[in-house]
Amino acid sequence: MRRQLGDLFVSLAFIAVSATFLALTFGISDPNATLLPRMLSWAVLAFSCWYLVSTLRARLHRHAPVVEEGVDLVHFLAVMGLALVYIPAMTFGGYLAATAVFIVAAVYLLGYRRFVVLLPLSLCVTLLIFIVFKTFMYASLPSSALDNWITELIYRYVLS
Amino acid sequence: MLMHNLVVGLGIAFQPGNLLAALLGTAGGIVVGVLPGLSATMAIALLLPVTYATGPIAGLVMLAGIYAGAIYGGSISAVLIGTPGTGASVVTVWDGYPMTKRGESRLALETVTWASFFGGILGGLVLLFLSPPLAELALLFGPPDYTALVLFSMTLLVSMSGDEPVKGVIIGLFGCLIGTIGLDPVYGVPRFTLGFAELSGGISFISVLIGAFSIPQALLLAASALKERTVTAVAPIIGNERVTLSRMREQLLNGLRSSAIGIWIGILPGIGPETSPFIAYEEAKRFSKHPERFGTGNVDGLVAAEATNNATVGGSLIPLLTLGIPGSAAAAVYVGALTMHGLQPGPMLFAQRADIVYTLFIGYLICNCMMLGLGLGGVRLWTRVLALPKAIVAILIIVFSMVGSYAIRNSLLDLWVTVIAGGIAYVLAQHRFPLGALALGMILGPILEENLLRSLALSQNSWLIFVQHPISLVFLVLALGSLAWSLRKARLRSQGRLRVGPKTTVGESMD
Repeated sequence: MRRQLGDLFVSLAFIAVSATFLALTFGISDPNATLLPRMLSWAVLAFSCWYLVSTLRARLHRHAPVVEEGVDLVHFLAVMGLALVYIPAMTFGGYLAATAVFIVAAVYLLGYRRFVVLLPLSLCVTLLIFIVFKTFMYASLPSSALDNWITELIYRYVLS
Repeated sequence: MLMHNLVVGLGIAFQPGNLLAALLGTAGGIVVGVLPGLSATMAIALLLPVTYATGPIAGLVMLAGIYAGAIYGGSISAVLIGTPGTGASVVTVWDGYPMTKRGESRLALETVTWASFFGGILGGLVLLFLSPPLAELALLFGPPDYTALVLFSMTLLVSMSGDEPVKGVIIGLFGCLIGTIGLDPVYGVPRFTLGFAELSGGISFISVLIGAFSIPQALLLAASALKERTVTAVAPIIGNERVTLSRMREQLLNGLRSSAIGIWIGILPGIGPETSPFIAYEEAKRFSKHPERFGTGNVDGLVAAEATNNATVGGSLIPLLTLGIPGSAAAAVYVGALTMHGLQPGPMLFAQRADIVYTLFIGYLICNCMMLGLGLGGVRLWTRVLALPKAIVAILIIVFSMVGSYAIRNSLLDLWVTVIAGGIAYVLAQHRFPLGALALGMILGPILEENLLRSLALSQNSWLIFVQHPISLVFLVLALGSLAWSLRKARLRSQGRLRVGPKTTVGESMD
């Protein structure tokens, strides 16, 4: 039942999004700029309606839709939630602290409990990514006082 | 001219930095391929940002190595644990795993390694010698011809979704629609920006791809970590039989036929190395004197599956480099690498940056040679990858994808786009939407729009321009034929009357 609801939800989401895109095209005055977006919006809307109807028909005939096995809803929401929290955490707490905590929390959530491995690994990986992106790609990762201090150490003792 | 470019390409490809990039890319690709659930497309998407540090040439060679290595790496787990590492090695399980169960895992592994090398080298040679004349031909194409070519490519989206073509169409068109966000490519009118200046340049195509191809696979790996708390049991590499010259001679015709099928499938836009092994396997069976032995641990089947999927890699780069139209989902992500470095795939790339193109060709051949060495010499090392805790690998993929996405433009908006695209892509993949079609749609949408608007401007808004140009007319007829063929195939498959061809699985959905 939940899987059928999922199919219905996906088809309705596509209908809503394509209808929104379609409505937005009417606010654009230049007909050339709206030509393809409007054609595409109509097409996505039409095919999504077809998908909705076929889902409803399958429901009537009690054909269970094929849904792939994957992570359960609770873990999906928890991992995605952590990833979404990680973005502002990185902005306020800096890359290093946020990433190390995120790795430990997310791996723990997935059932891995060997802290002897997990803690040093999260620190090493966080530092490795930091060095690669900071020194080779010149990325300005969100930084706190800790990040600045470590960057200074890296430049003074490793790259000097 | 070809010889001159070849010499230039050879000179650059053999520079130490580029050789190192090829080695790292191929080894990294094998590692990703060995881990069931991770795909070549994901690996390429994940490492796109890293190419900023390596520069365009080494970066593109590295990504080509990842693509070739991952397709080969998938066969190692197919042989040793009976689970395909990537969607391209599903067929390899059919004969590879029975051989392992019979105590012939060494022969099976050596066979897949040599067959992959053979297919990869043939694909690379065809890429090298067919691409330049095709690129010259493509210079004759005008905007109406490109419009019709893109329409033809889009009809192949239908064939990407197995027995549910509507899903491929919806997500492909949706990808095109996302591609229209921002200023229109001809008149510069803003669309769907909702007042945000950041959206004028459109949604970052690379951030969407990184999210859509990395996060769902990380979540799948997470699911597998939650389900199986034990380490995967890997069969030992045993057996006295080895690949010999006489065995190679016996398989030459089979290898050539399967590679040719792979290259052809690769050239067709939208169909990648996940499809070609099914067709090559059926053909090998049809030509075999002992078709009853297929599926019981037969070397013929193994050669067909592996030669063809690696040949498809080279084939899929041909339309990408010559026309700017990717031949597979991984090739679509490859476009991201080119555009990130300011390179526009298509015939002009051959004229303006022949050094890069020919270095890529030679680099791809070098990657295949490295794959052979790494495969024959380091197979015991690669199987150790299977012992890595999946929960850790899953989370590291998420972290790397997020940091990589941010690092491209130092933009928090890109980071949000990556996570949201990843979450949505996961839900869609769960409902068997082929994510490869999304990538193709996002690439093809802007090309379609630009050429459509230019064509209409040329013809003063007359749509007849598309049937008045002979090349465009040919592509339109091909598009209609392809659409009819794909719909018929889907219908036969849904009625159970067509057995050949892949059944879409979640891993393949992501390819």
